[in-house]
Amino acid sequence: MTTYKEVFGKYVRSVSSDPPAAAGTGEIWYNTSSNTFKTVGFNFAWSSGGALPSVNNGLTGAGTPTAALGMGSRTGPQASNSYEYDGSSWTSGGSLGAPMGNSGGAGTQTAGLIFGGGPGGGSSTTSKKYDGSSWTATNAMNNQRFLPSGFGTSQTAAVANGGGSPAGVLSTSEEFDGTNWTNSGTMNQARMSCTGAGTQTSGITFGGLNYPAGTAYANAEEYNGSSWTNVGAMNVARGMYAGGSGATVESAYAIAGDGPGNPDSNKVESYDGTSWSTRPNLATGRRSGAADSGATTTSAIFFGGRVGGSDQSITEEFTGTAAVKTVTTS
Amino acid sequence: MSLFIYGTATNTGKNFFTHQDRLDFFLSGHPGNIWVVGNNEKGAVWLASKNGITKTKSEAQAIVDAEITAAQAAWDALPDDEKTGSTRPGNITLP
Repeated sequence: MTTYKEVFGKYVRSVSSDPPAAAGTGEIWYNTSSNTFKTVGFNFAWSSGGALPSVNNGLTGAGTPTAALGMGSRTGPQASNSYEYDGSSWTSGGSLGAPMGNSGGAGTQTAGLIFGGGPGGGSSTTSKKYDGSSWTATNAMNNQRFLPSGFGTSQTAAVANGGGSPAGVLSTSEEFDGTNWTNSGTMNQARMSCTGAGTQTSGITFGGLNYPAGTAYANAEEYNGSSWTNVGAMNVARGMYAGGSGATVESAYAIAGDGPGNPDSNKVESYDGTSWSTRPNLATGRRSGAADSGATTTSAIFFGGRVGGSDQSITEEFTGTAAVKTVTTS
Repeated sequence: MSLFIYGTATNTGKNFFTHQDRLDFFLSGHPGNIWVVGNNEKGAVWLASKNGITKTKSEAQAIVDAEITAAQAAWDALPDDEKTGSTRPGNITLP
């Protein structure tokens, strides 16, 4: 039988008391007091965050969990608003200048990007970028879109894919370089209300709906900067709206959404580059909410959305805290 | 003993429920400010600390149903173009 030392080049150390969780990350040890093997794992949970200044559904998000940007709304005067989050509370950001809802988003809190969507959630080629205080129109996208997926942690390297349009549900994608939108690869699955994570050269899109049938998809596709490849499917099929987050493909989250038999979902999953794993549920399931674009494997936020017929201002924060755990064979 | 406590409470934002709360007891929020809370000591203390008003399961379900029924009627009354890109609110059955 292969020994631990043969695999890792060192013996399992024996200690009478556990080290602090933070110091034990990545290690395994034998606790001689409890006669058990121990390691460090994570306890994941969603907690409540600061409330948005207004109730909101059909907004989109960007930034990180502690420096997030919320943009637009499907309806109401808040459709022209943007909001900035500091990890504790939301404050008003610059005005979008015109209503935008059911849009895609990318970038950071001080260099954000919103594209597609429009008043009442209509479709458009509109694209605007943010400098932390004001929004400026960019050159237009090549395709009208509403409920597109958007991802990219940079304002100058973002992707828009899928969405609805007057021509139907789209399988096309396009890239933004900070100035222009350029058509790129075609997805294997035309989908609207999908979402995404990662970067312009290594991204992923997942979920979504067809229209008008409303069938929800669980499947996912990875993007390499030019083409799309089918990868492992989520456990739950749903229209994701803007509920996708992740600075990288390996830290992608699918948060909430909506689908037949799964209304106002509280389901959360994360992707490790190969497969999707179930994560703790949101406290309040909802559709049409938004997530940051810079989630890590231990942090993300989700804000706004709609429960039943009520637009929401709530924010929930996902965190993983290191904790010493006993190794079991189960 | 039932698995859950039902009640109404208003989400006040940051720290309304914490990471540790979510590890200590089941919690889910629903229309009408209805909260379903794991029926253990920590869950009961949490609901009380939020000035929650305890409801029976049927009372809580009735509040949710009334919210959903109103939302469905509002959605049904929308013009077709405004329904595009949104879905009709679905019924919710409390656990």
